[in-house]
Amino acid sequence: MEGRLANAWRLTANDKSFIRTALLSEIRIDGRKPYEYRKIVVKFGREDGSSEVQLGQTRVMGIVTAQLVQPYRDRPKEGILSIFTEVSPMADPSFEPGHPGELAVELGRIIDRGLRESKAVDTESLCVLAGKFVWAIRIDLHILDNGGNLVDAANIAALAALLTFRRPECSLGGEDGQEVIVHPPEIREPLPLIVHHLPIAITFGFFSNDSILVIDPTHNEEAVMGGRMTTTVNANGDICAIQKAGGEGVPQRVIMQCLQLATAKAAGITKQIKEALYDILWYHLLRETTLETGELKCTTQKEL
Amino acid sequence: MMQVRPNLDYEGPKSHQHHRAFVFGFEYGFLKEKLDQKEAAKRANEQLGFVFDIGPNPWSKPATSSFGCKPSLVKMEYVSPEGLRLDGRRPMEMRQIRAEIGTVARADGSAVFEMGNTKVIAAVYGPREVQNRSQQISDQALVRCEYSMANFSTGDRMRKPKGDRRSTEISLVIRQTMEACILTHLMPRSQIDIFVQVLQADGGTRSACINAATLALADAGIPMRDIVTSCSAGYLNSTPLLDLNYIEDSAGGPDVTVGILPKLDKVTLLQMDAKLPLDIFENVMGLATEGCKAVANYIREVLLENTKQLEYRRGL
Repeated sequence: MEGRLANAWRLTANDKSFIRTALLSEIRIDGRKPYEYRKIVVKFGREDGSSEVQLGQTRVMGIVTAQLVQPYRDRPKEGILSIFTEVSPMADPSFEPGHPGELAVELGRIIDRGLRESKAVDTESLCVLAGKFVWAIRIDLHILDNGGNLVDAANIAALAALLTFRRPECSLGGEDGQEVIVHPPEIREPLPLIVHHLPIAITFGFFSNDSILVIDPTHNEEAVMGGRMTTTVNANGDICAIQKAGGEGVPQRVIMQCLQLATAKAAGITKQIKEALYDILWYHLLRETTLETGELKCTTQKEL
Repeated sequence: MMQVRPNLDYEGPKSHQHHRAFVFGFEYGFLKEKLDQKEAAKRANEQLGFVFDIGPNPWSKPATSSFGCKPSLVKMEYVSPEGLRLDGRRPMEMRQIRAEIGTVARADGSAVFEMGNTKVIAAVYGPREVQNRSQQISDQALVRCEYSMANFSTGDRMRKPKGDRRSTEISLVIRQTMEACILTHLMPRSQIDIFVQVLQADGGTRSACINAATLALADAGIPMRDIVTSCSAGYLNSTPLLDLNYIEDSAGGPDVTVGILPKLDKVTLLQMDAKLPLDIFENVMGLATEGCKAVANYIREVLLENTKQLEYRRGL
């Protein structure tokens, strides 16, 4: 939270001590247990590659777009994945309009590390013509409401948007085979991205008393807590990224305990995302049915 | 556990070996258009026993930009079968550390910290009056940090040393790490500025910055709970490696940076990227923590030496 600006929302001293005392008896002010997540609702927009995620009161929207660009010089056969975050004062009055603050940059980089370094999205399949044309996938995350724990919600939004995104099919043509022809979606069915695994970000909050930790802190708890740690794990038990940027010091065994908790939670959240995708897959299936004959144009759908 | 000590006799990477490898790479790769990349890599491999990936690397970019060949199709070996890394270190060996206090005369505290070829300078101003009244905190000191890389610090001249996203994130990370150890409640309504500049970047700049900032804060006499030391570790060729340099860092393997409070034995900073299973991560984090403790010993020696010098000059 940007606690430095004049219009930053501050909790009263009474509220803060109430939250801390309640945590000593393992009670959180919204009724959850310390290791319980808030309800996650994943909705999809009409366009391919747009999603909206609600994590309790936090709302984040994710949109994925693709463009053909020249690849980086030192990676001529790989596509490009980039993440941009937009925070506006609509979500939280302490955000400044225009220039992205530290929070927005950190958020973008945590999700970027989780997706890119762990090779969740297959970038080699995005190559069209090595050294000349590759697909650049751009993920835009818009923070609509800050109810605490933006990183987790934004990560789920990015994953959901990536899973529903379809890029146009293209083929090489022209006289020397160097021209790229992008087929419009009406002629050829657009293709989904190849996603190897789903890295889920899980945030922990540490409080000044030793060994009090909570999962998925709300806005109030974030104002009180001494330190935070975001672990990005996937359902296979791999750790994709960890970010603990200073704050309260914790012993090493607490960190290992957090990682094990995160692995357990990641499986549940992955399942929830995939369940939300079943509905949208039905929609895709129906869309491919031709109107004249009522038959399905394409019978195979990528099984998740 | 494993004994990790910084190798103070170590002289630096075997630069002549590097040069030879790159020369071969250039010759075989660049010379003739007819020579296939795979051929070039095979020949270089036969001659040298290993192949260098001419990728984004401070030593490898030639002056001309027309060179685009990359004999990188052969998988690169970061740990040789004898157990030596690219610069001749063992997997659990740190690079040479050097620190110097009091280099910026104008600042309240300053330090230069070197880890191998990575060189970082830190300057601390404070505690002083808050410059922007609206940011004043009534019961604590305000800590600000700015991280920037000099244009000449990497092989290619950097176009935007500050203000890009990586610098913003690292500034945030360093600020929060130092904030956790400074006793801010002793200096309400004041401001402490930490400026860190990277003069030479060869991997592990984050860790070097935190170590330099610790020394500079100690030199400025700012009360702290404990010193913060930091070190990085990675996992390549199925071996945990301590203190990665730039080539090992850009290999795409996992990179774990740990910052600890040595006396309290608590972890303040922990960053990791790329995939790792949980048990291997525990090993790598343990290795990085040992590296931090070695750095902490060295920092304490430097501070003790500095204090003795001050006593001597004051005639005590």
